[in-house]
Amino acid sequence: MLEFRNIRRRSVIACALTLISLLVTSGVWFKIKPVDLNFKLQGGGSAEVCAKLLNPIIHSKKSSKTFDLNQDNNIKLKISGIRNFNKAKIIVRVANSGGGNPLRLSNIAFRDGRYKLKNLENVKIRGGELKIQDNELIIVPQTDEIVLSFPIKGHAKTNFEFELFIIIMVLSYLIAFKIVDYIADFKTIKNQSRIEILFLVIFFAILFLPMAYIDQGKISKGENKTLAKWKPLITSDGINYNFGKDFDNWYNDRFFLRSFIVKTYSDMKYNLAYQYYETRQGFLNKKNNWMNDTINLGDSSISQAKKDEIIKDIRKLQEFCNKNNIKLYIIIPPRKGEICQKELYPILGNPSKYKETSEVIDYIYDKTGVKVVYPYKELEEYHKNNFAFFKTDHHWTDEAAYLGYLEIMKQVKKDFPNVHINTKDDFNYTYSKKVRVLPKNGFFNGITYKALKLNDNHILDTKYKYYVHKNSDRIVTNFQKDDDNIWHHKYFNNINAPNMMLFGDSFTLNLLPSIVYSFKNTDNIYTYVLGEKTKYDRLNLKRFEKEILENKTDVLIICLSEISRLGFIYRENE
Amino acid sequence: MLFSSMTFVFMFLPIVLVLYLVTKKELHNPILLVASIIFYAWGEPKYLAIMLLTILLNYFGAIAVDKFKNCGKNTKIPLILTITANLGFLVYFKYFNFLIENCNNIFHSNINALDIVMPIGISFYTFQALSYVVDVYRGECKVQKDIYKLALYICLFPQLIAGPIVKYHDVAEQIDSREVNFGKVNLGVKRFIIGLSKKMLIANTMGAIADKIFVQDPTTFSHGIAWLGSIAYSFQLFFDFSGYSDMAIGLGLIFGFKFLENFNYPYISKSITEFWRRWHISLSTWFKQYVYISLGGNRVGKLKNLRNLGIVFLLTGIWHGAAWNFVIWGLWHGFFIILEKIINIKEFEQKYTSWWVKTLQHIYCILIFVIGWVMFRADSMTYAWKYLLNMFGILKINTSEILYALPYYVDTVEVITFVAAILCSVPLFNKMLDVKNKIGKTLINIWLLILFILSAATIASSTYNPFIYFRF
Repeated sequence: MLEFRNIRRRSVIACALTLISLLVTSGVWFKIKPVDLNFKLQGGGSAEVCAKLLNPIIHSKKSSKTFDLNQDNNIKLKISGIRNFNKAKIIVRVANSGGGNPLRLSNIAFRDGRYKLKNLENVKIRGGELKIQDNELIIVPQTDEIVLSFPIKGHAKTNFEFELFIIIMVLSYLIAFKIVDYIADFKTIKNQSRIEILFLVIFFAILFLPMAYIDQGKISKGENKTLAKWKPLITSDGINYNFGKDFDNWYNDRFFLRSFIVKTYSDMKYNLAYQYYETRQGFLNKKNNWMNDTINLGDSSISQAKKDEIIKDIRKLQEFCNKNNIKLYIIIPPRKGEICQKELYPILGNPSKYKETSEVIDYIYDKTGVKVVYPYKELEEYHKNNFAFFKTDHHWTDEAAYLGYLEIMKQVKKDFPNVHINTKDDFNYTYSKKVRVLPKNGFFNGITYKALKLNDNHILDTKYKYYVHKNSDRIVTNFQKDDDNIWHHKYFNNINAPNMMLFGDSFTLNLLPSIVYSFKNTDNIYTYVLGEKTKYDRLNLKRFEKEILENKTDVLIICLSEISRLGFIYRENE
Repeated sequence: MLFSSMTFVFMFLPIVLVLYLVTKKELHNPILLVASIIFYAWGEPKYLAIMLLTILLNYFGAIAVDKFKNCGKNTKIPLILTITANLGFLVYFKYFNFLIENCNNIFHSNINALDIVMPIGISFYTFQALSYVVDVYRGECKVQKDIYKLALYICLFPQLIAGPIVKYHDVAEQIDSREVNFGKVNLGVKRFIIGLSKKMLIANTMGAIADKIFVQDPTTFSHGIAWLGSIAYSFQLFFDFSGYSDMAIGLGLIFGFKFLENFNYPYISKSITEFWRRWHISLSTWFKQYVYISLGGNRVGKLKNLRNLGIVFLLTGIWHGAAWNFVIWGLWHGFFIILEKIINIKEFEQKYTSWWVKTLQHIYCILIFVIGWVMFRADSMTYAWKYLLNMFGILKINTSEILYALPYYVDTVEVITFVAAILCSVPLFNKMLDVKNKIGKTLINIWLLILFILSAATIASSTYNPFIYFRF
């Protein structure tokens, strides 16, 4: 029989465990409802609006949504993850805006009007100029991102689930008491050391921790990935024989503290690395902050079968172009790994693909007469004193793309002598430490930087030169995604010049700031290329033939950053 | 299900442990059986049928052997039938396409390969099942009339898919009755953590180095890198497999079982004979007890004895996989075992006891097993041959063709892990769990918890990372 003293002691420990259990499950029995935020926002184009509530200890989760301000001016957001707040932040990101038109913001209210922002004088702004007029905030954007912050006191609605609280409390106590009792009996009966008991208790606590909360979200912002969905064992199609694997994926993506663990682990790996920090996605040379993606290292050796495929595809495309009086040009930008060998691989090696690519280019010329432009030497020379590639991204810079532009235009000029080749005097220049690939999409830290999950602004230590044409206001743009998720970037330039279509991977994008000013209308069909299946699906000019003809294309330029991708461009039967 | 997956460590294991530890003894076997079936069916439910058939086959096979014995009939008939059926499954799923490929090569025929996927762990559970029938035949244990108990023996999840191969006579009594106590649970948890850390922290890091090297053509890396790759792979294999065995033994202890050790610091061996007494002990004792002894063992003439050794190592190679490099790997080891038998290694060791002879012996042994692991790791014998030529400086390497230099393969983490791998492959910490004083115990417990958290973080941050021995 247990002594009363022992029971009392075990009850105290069980109570403590019950309290912990109640704390862990507090989200179940004590629900904090999201706070509604409403306001009116007027302006042109579309805008992504984010809002956040804060108090000195915690921040709410960010709530964001994209609004088309031409159609809807009433902004409604639900902000969750905070009970008491005394400050709010509204972030407006303007995309495809009406060319820097002012935004008008008014009627800011939280919780269905319970808390209203009355004193507009308290609003602070970053990224724009602020005026107050007729109880409205007039914002003149200076950057793509405008941040408004202001004090506002309030609290969210809460819901206390009494029944659930009692159930969890009683069950937790019963289970905790049983566990304590069980472990204590070990001590009593076997006279085991407390050190070992503590060890086992901690071990079991760690075992159960990941199950304590399952993330119900759809995406992981930190990792920039979609979380695996729940797939049941029995579906309408019958038994799901992949249930085990599906469950593994679901649980791997959603267990408690996952983001924290993944981030801490990669931070630890990053700090431990002496010179070479590597993940599955890429690597960083910590000595000079140059990085590259592992998936964008460039071609592996090209087999004869691959060469034959390339020739077959180019011949088909040539046939189509000749039939429709279209001039065909191909440019292969060198890869970062080839040009930036000194920076990326001072310790690693990785021989240049120049010789091999040049051989394939010669082979193409022999078999088809198409002279592929490969500005390797130009970029190599330029990179000696400048930046041909971004340090934190695998794309070429505007400067390098301009060199590519000059090389391709030399070819075009032979067929179209009147075409204008932009000189450096035709441009104004801006500078930024961040990366910009598509002119309209703004600046970011870089794809490789993101893929490596880095969070160290010291890495962004280089200013890049960006090209802005002096006649940029002459061009009208239209960016659209088609049903197959392929981007069509259209540029309408009212000059007497040939129409051009620029087809290829993301290396086409940095050509746009220079190339579109040499042609009348430009249609840039950009498709990113990842994985075999996607290559087949996306890189098929057969599906764009109709569009090429409708555009009355005179010049068709193919720009692909790996020569082997030319073997995917024309697939008649797909 | 994988031991090194989030689902196993942080869902399946805690649930099964709680159910097992809080319920009465009578429910222990049913809980373990259900858990084992779920564990096996998790990845590929369709192959559960093969395992269940194996259970049925051996259940009735052993009963037939027992009945024939009691009636005074020739027990060899049901024994041979059961063994043939067991091996039939194994040959079909593991070796059929290999046989077809070789038939096509030899007879220039054009037989199409079948679309066969090998059920996970079939080599392990088939050998366990065979051990049961043979034990009954030899009268080393009683026939198991409770099919659930036999099912539990064959599919017990801690050692189901990558061993150790538990012989029936070693656990027959434990299946009927075993004690679960604090000491066993505590020790089991510690062994489990040690095994998990071996796999996640050492084997995976070593594997990453080896993978980077073995994925390249042997002409694109230097001789030093070739050695680095083979040594990294040697460590990966040892820590991967012994890590799994530690986890299996640890889980067994938590559930009250005591499985025999499967590894005993094989890399400190001074001869290949000693190596096989320390490496994959459960497999070598299985072959010893069920093949070598059946062939006459060492009670026959010297030549026949050497032949028996050759057969055992040929079979050991074949057991590891349906490819010629495994066969040659087995023969490679068999050759040195025979050689050591001829020169009588025991006498040699007694005669020459100076330190430099011992050092030379170590170097000899390391060289043999490292070369063996290159054959084991390579995708083909052609690749293995080229790789070995590179290791020994015979293959000409053009420096301009070298893809990567040393820092690509090894940075701080890898250096630390290499040192850890060397230290953990010698018996420096083997008494760690026996420490009695309080401070020592506390420090070891803290260290183990840190290792567990680090391993858990590695699992959480990585995706699919199966154990190497799963494919056997």
